[in-house]
Amino acid sequence: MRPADAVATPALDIVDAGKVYQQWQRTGRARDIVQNLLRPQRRTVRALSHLTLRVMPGEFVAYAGANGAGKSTTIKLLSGILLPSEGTVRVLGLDPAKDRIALMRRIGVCFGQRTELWWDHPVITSFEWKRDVWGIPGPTYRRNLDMVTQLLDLGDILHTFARELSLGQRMRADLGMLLLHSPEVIFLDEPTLGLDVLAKQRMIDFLRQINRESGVTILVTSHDMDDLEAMAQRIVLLRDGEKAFDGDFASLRRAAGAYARVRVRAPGPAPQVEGATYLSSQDGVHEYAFDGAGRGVQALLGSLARCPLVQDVEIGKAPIEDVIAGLYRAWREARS
Amino acid sequence: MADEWRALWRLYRVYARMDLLWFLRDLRYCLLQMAADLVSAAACVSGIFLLAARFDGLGGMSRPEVLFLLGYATLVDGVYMLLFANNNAGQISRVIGRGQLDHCMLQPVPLWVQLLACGFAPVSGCSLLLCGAGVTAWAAAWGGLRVNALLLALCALCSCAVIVSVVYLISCLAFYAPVAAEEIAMEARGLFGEMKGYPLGGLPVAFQALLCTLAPVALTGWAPVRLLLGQAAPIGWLMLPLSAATAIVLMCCAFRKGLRYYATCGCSRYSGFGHR
Repeated sequence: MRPADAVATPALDIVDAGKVYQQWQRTGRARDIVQNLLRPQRRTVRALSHLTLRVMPGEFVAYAGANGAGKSTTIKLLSGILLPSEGTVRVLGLDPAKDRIALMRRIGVCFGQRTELWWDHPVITSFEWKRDVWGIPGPTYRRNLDMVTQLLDLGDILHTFARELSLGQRMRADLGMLLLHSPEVIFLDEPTLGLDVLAKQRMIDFLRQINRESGVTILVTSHDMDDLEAMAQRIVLLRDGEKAFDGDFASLRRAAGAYARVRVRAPGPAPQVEGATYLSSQDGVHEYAFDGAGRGVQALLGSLARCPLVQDVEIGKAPIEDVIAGLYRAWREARS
Repeated sequence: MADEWRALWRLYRVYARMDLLWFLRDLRYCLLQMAADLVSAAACVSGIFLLAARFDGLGGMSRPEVLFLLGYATLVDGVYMLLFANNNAGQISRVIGRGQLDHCMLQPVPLWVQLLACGFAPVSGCSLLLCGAGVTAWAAAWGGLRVNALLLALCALCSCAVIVSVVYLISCLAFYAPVAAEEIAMEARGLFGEMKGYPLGGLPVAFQALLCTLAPVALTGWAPVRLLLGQAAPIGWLMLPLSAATAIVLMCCAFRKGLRYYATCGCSRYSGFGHR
């Protein structure tokens, strides 16, 4: 492939893809026993609907949505595990279903709730297994092993059995293994699930580093929106299998009409702040929402200056968790 | 295709090394497992052999011939264990039913290569093979039976292919009913339990034909042993590999169809957070 072509080829190119499942419906009533046997009822579930998504090489994309929105289904389509019911899916210009073997040499997939490590072997054996199965050249393997050992601090656990690792250690080892063959694109399905704050922070830092320095394209799903915002530059929101939003986090806040937050420390009851809506109070800190657009901040500061009891002021963006929760709530209400 | 065979060879080496590593790291458990295999094999062999010893032969076979049949049956089990003992390769319905084929799909190797290689256990899975080879050799020496070792190996491979094909064929049900059929491979394997070491000479011909075709237990013991001992028509030398090939083709067709269903419908077994 010529360099120009390589740049032009999107890392991920999903066009009008849909995925439909059939679910068997059975009742537990005795009178339905014949129907359950001969003509069981089936329900059609549309996991993805007309999804079009293009991700260019080097992008770090957060892929979010409520439970059952179609995130994992998308990753399975991109990995060639599932076939789309309609539309086309391309990863690095390849069809995952037809070119699975060639594609697997160039991408990495990690399902957070599963592990690719061999349970009854030390971590290093899993790494060596990967080297042999993927046919990773010796120098590449050694270079990547050194890199992941250093960056993910795997030195202490390389010779520990996978079954004896904590969740955080296991995730680090899984992530290290994922990168041994220098994948150009990686898909991470809930990689921070169940991790403590420190482990999560290390993983996020590591992912940002490999995205920035190695140009690895990353598509990551999570229910933790703060994690996603800390990692990705772009967020794609799914709603009932359809793309509901695609852009950066600031645009998402604007699109969701999310107001900025101001936290005010003042003794006693929450002071009245002009141009801001009171939200909550805790330990003498009162939180308000306000419209940060236009002259909103100046007006707010002027209003706060007139409150004699105010000791401290902190202005910030609306928490992304609140923005998304608000969106999910609005969608659910619209659906019902 | 040459690449795929090379990959198969590479994977056999990988899994052989991993099996050896398990032996070296967990010697006590590995030896315990091998000893358990041997005790189990001895128990299977002894029942039928004691009957043959009591009645001076069984089902038209002399005592050494019955022992040879039992040795052959153990040898076939040994080949099966050698090639499919590890990683649920011989219990494929578990892999399918638990949605673990996803892990296979993420490897840059054809699925058939992975499934054929991942169960390879030349160290921990060799006890039955050695036991079967020993009993077969002893029986041949005791009864003065003249058996070609190459043909014996060919027959054992064909018999093993029949077992694997039937187990995989029945396990394909797990594509459609992952929960109900998760353990069906074990039941399918049970079909080839003690019965394959049983002399079937005394059974009606129709029953023998059934056991050579639809429920091909006879192809994994009695029929090939009769061929090896020169007691069956020479056409059998054609029929045995042909039957094994037919079973493999049927299994491949069913597996591909099931895999297609899996790719279209997925496995709902591990939805959400992976609870069962």
